[in-house]
Amino acid sequence: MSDLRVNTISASDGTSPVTLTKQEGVKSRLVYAQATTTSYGSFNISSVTDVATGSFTGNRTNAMSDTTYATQFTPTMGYNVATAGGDYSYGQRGHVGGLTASPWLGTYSTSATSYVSNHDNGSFYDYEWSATTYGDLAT
Amino acid sequence: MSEIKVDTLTGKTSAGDITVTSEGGAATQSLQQGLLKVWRLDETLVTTSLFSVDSINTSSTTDVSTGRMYISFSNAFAATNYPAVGNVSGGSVDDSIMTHAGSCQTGRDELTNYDTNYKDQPLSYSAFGGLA
Repeated sequence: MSDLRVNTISASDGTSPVTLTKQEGVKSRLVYAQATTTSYGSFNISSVTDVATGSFTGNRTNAMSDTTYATQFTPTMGYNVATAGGDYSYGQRGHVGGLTASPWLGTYSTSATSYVSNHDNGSFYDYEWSATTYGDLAT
Repeated sequence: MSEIKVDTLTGKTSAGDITVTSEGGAATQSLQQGLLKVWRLDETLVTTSLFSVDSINTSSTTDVSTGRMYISFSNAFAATNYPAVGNVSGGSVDDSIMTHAGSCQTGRDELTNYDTNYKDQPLSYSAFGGLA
């Protein structure tokens, strides 16, 4: 078995990224509790903005190269469906910057992504979320 | 093009920390922190197989009750604040997966699927963060 011990890996020109053959990593990730505006585990997230009830924005330390990146988010603990009386997080929307109706007043840019969710009763709630982003980082 | 073929990469200063350059070259980030640590295409909650179940870093699954299951990890996370995302693979558009539901642990996550009531569905799951 061979073991290469290094602190930094770059391409042969010394600056370009190395190729992870047919693979890539997540470029930002976050666990965020809207109700208490608390960020838990995160990576490449500089801050989180609580936009409105049911909507928050994750701001990245290192920006994406363009706005074609993919994002995914899922409710993560803290919300008691047994007392909510119906579905929860009926709508889950990332990339909400193009929408203007409240509370969709978030940001969709290379450096930030907003998320919004609503209950199927039409109301918006502060959930707790896991959010991830995939794509290329900026030049 | 240069290529190094090895079986294991280890950080020199800190064994679990290797820095890589971003695609655009403007930033550097931790290789380990960006790697997907768990993924699973799962049919634990259903009796009819629709596809081939596959996974990385999962040791077992448990059908807890209707619409509720555990996924146990081969290698545990360092803390319970790891991000975990999922969605049903098939089923109703109203189905909604919750991760870290109830008894989340470093070595096991609890998932629920809900659409008016708890429902059994195939699902896809992935988790990120620092391993123990």
